[in-house]
Amino acid sequence: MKPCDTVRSLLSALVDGELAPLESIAIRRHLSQCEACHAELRATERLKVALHVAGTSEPLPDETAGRLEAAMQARFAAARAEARASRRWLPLAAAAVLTAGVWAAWPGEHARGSAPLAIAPAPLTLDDAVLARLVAVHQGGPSKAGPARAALRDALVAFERLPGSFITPEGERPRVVQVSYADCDGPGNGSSLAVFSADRVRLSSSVDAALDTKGVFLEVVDGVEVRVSLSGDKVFVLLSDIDPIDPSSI
Amino acid sequence: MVWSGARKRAQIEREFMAHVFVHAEGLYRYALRLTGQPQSAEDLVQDALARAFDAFERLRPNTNHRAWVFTILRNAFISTQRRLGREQELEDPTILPDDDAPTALDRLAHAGDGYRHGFEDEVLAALQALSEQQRTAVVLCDVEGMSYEDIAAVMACPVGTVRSRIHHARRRLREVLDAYARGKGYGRLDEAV
Repeated sequence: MKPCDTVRSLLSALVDGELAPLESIAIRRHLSQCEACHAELRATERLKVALHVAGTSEPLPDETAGRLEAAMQARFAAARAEARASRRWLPLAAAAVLTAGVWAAWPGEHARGSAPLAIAPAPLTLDDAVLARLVAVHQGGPSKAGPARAALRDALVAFERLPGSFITPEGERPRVVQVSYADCDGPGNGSSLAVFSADRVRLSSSVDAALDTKGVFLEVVDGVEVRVSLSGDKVFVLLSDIDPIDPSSI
Repeated sequence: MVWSGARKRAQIEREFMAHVFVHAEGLYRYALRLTGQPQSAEDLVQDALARAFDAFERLRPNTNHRAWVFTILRNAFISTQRRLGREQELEDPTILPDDDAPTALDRLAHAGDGYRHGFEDEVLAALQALSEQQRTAVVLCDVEGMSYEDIAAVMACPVGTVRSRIHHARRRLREVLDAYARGKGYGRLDEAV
C-alpha cells in the first residue's frame, strides 16, 4: 500500500480525534508535504460538517417530545401500580411467619406492651392517631386486650420492646441493627420498636416533611418519645419512655 | 402524604428522566435515520425508552446510560427489521459495488422534494442509502458526537470495526454526493456544501 493510501485510510479517524498521538503526528507530517492528501483531509472535514448539519436539521418536534414524555409517565404509573399489587401480599406472608414464630416462642406472661401485631390488608397511615395508638400499645393497652384485638389492623411486621440503651444518648437517629425480642428493662424505662414494611405505610405530611428535612420525625406523646425514621425499605418507629425526673435526658 | 415505596419509585423515575430520557432528542434523530419516517422513529424511541425503563433498576453502577439506551434502540430496530425479513439492509457490503450508485442517486433525485432547502436533503438521502451498520457508525459519530469507543459499545463490535465502518461510510457518501453534485453542475461535493 502506498503511503498516500495508508494516510487516506486514517483521515476519518484523524478528523474524529481518534488516532493515537504518534499516529497523528506521522499523518500530519505527511499532510504537510502532500497536497492531494491534504485536500482529502479538507474534504473529509467538510463532509463531517455537512453530515452534522444535515443530521441535526430535524429537531425533535415539541408535540413528539410531549407524547414521549406522556408515554413515560404512563409507564411510571403502570410500574407503580404493578409494584403495589405485587407487594400487597408479601408483607402479609412475612408477618404471618413472623407472628407465628414470635407467639410460638413467647414465654408465658407477656411483658407490658410487648405484643406483636399482625398486618391488616389496608395500608396504615402513620398519622397522629396511629402514633397515639402505638404509644398506647407501648404503655400496655393491647396486652390487656390480648393479641386478637391487636391483630385487627396495624401493619406491624414486628412490635417489640428493647432496652433503653438502644437509644443513643445524644438523641441521634436510632440505628436499628436487627429486630429482636428483648424483655423490657423495667417499668418506666422501656422502649418499643415497631418495624413497618415501607410499602405498606403511608406517611402523614408532618412525618414525611420531617423525614425529608431532618431524616427523623420526633414527637413526645403522653410521656413517650416517638421517633420515626426510614431506612431502606423499612420504617422504624421507636417509642421510649421519658424519664419523668430528668427531662433533659431526651 | 407520600408512600414510602412510592418515594423509592419516584427516585427511580427521577433518575431515569435525568440519565436516560434526557437523550430523547438524540434517540429521535438516530431513529429517524434508521427508519426514515417520523412516525416510525417516534414509535421506535418510545419502545426503546419503555424497554430501558424496565431494565433501569438492574443497571450496574457507572453504566454509560447514553450508549446503553442507544444500544437498546438499535437492537429494537434490528429485531423489527429481522422480523420483516430485511436483514440484507443491515449488513455492511463486503465490497462497494458501483452498481449501487444508481439506487443512491435515485434517492437523491427525489431528495429536494422535501420541506428543507439547501444540501441537507441530499446528505440525508445519501445517508439513507448506506447499510444500517455504516449509517449507524457515521450518524453516531458525526451527528451525535459519540466516541468510537461508545459507538463500539452500541454496535457490540471492536473499535477497529467502528473505525473501518466510518471510513467506508464516508468514502461511500462522498462518491454518491460527488456524483450528485457533478450532475447538478458542480465539480464535486466540496463546491456544493
